[in-house]
Amino acid sequence: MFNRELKKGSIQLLILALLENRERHGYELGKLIEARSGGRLVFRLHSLYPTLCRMEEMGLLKSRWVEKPGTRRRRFYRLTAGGRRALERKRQRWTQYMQAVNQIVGLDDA
Amino acid sequence: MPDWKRHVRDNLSLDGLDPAREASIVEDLAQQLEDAYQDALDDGLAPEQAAESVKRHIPDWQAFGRTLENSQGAHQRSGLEKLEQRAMERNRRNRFSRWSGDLWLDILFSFRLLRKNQTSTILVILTLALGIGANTAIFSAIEATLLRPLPFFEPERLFLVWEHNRKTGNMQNYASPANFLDWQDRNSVFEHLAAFSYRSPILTGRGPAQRVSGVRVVGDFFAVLNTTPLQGRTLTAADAEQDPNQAVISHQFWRSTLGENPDVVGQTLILDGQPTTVVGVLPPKSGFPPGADLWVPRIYRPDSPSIRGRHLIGVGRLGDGVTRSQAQSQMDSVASRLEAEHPEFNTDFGVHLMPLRDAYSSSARGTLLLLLGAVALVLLIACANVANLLLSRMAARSRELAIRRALGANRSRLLRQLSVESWMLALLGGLLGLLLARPAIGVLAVLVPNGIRITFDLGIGPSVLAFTFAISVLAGVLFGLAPALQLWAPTAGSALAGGGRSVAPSQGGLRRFLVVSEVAMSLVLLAAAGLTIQSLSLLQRVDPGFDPNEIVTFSLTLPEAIAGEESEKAPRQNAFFQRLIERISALPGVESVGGVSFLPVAGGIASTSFRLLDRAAPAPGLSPVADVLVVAGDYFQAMKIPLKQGRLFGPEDSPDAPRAVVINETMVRRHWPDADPLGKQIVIDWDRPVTGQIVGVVGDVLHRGLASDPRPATFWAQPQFTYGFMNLFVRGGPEATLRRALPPLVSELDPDLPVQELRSMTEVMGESVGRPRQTLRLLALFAGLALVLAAVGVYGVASYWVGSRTREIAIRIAIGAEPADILRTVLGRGLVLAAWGIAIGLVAAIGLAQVLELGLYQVPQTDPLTYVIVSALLLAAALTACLFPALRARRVDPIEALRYE
Repeated sequence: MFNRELKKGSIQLLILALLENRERHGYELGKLIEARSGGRLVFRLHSLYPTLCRMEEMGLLKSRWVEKPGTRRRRFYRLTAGGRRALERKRQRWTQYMQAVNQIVGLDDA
Repeated sequence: MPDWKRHVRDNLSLDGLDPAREASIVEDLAQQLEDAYQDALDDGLAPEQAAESVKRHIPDWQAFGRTLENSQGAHQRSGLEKLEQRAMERNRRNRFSRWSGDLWLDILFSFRLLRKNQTSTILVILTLALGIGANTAIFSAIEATLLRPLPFFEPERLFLVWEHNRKTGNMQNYASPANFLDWQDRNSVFEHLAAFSYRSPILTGRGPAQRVSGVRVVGDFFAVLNTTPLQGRTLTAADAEQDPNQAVISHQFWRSTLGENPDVVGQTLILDGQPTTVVGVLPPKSGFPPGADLWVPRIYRPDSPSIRGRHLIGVGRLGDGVTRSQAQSQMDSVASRLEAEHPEFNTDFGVHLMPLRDAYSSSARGTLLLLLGAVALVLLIACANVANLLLSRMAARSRELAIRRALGANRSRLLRQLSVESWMLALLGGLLGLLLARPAIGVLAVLVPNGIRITFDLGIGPSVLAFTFAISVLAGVLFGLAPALQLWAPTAGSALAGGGRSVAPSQGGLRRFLVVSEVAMSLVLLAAAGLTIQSLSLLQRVDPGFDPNEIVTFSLTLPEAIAGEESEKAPRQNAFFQRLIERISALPGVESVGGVSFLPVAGGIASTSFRLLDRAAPAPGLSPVADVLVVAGDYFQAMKIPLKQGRLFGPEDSPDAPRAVVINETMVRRHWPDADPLGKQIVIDWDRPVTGQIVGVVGDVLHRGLASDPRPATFWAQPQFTYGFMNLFVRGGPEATLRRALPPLVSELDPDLPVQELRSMTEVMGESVGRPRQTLRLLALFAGLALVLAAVGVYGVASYWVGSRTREIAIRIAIGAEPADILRTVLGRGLVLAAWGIAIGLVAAIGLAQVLELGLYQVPQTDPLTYVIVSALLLAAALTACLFPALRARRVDPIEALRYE
């Protein structure tokens, strides 16, 4: 549906946003993106999982194994302080970028 | 339900991750795949379909694995930084490929240009090849002589230890064994200190008798050198005590004389009639002293008979971390104590430490460096010439360059093009120079000291190659500078406007500068060559004190074993020499035959202190010194050494008669300037005091070489003074016949006695000036080359001037100038340049003469006549070089030249 490069550029922002208020496990993140975008954004494990790993390496996320009663052991990801700052920055930049593009292509409200 | 964990493990390969992290990833992935599978089943897919859909999550496991691996190191750089870096790398790659592509284009273009201007290209490459080749050849000699490490372990720690005879100024006086033993005992600066003396025994029983050049070694000689033998063992200090009849041999001797016999260790050699066991063979080219083939042990005890005779050379390895000056100062204090303890023997004797390297090369250092300076000048002149030639070419190309600039080539782009051209010329010149250097190295070999030639292979090794490459590149930069500077000339861009006819006027100044430098440098070289020519011709005209023509000479060393006991030695030697001289005299055509212990002019000599019985004994150390020479047969007659006073030796000087002495004129001048020396008694310090009565005075003979001054000498008659070593001189008789007849005659008398160094006395004279003569030849060659190059340079400038002023000349002719005026103008311009060059060159040459030592014989380094002659020569060459362009200018036809205006 969307161009691969376009998706690639936004995946970190999406993950950070989804983890803003609570911790989630990897599969859940993929499902949420697909559901909330109305099926227009689909990230398979193939691209999502390495991104999670990289973000963890970069110190944006932290993960832990959680065993809840009645379910199997899952790995949950949550934002670090650095992750929160990054989310803030990326959100701002995204907005500015969108505004700039919209201004040019004529979708701006103003 | 599929085993997802297994599925992940089977497909995913992660290198370089720690196992715990890998296991965690596998579990995480398996978990998520299982969730996806569950979802698919919930969506109503059949298990197989569900499994298939899950597998689509990761279509390419290899790529996935790589991405994962990369993500693990990502914390070091942010994604943006990585992107930037990748972009930079790509950029660099592009730039390099563009750059190398351009370079290739430049090279192709240069090739085309060089081929287009074939004549000038060949001229340039040849000029450079001569300069670079000469530099390469001289450098290869220098590299071997002065730079290559000697083939010993840590050779910089090795020193020769001489006595320093302060009375004669001889810093390389042999050491007495008594002093050597004291040095060994009293020093702490040497890790090992040993000594050696030369002794070359006669080998018999293996083909014709032959002399083996060898040394006797004292102490742990091989420990000093740290030599590992090729076969067997080396000698230790203990060997001399246990069995002196053992020997270590050189690789060369093992190969040439013993046929590379693999079982040589343990074999017996008959040396001077004494069976000697071979205990070891040294590796090739590893022996010291260079050229020795045989090492035998020798021991000295305080009561040894020759303990005071100075005939040893010490050789030591400094202790780790000991400096030369520390060692010298300790040995100085040892020597001054010995001086105080044995004043009768050691007064005015010190110790001199000499780096082993100097023993090999110090004699050649000056000559080689001088020649290096000369060839460097030749190369500089060659570069100036090439620069000049390229400048002419630049003038012709100014249009091309202007067009390229107009089309957008920037200066650095053009500069690169020009540099590539220069370097290609330089490297081609260097390549050809290497080819020229190969045969030249053979010619240079005479300048390389013997020891170095024996120890190293001369030739073009990696360091010589590197040198050649470096000077080629340097030359390329030097001569490429001149055309490159033109890019910055203010008129460079305006060449288009002039339709290509105009040329950059700034070139004139640069060209004049180049030519003036060329002439100046040539003058320096010519002056050096001129001075050396004068010096050598004076040297060759020196009267050696005898007549070397029509004399055949050879040398004999009587083996020590023949001599046996001291008391039996004299009669046997006397009988041998008497019979030998009688037999030779009987040969047809022979006029006279005689012998002397040291070959005149060759440098070797024995000297000792003496006293005169009619004078008070001098204080210790103040005794005068004289040469001691032993004479057999009619030596003075054969050599035509004139008798000045008294008589020569005759049959009356028999072993039983009182010893007779003949002295030379210098001795008379020094000690009896106003008195008659005949009848005076003289006592020399030999192995014991020897007394003789002066019976005659002869003319001086230059024993230490043609450039030396005569020194006081005493001659003793062989029957009264036994001496095992003799050079014989045979005057008269056709040389070829004598050369054939002498060896069999000697072997009839003693089949075990080899005839050595059979040659004519004129050959000996030639050899004595061999090195100066070769130096001169090379200097003259380089100076000649410089002269020709400078003349070509002057020619180039003059003809360029004429070419660029054709219009002006034509107009002057048209308005009535005489051809002679034109001629005078052109010649005048050339001469002004030459005169400037000569003036600057004279200043430089005279300045250099204050600093450099040419080693001249009786010619002052600032000899005015030489400078006048070489200046005139250069001026004449410049005049000749200008003549052709001048004549061309005179013939300019004004109508023809101005027609196209």
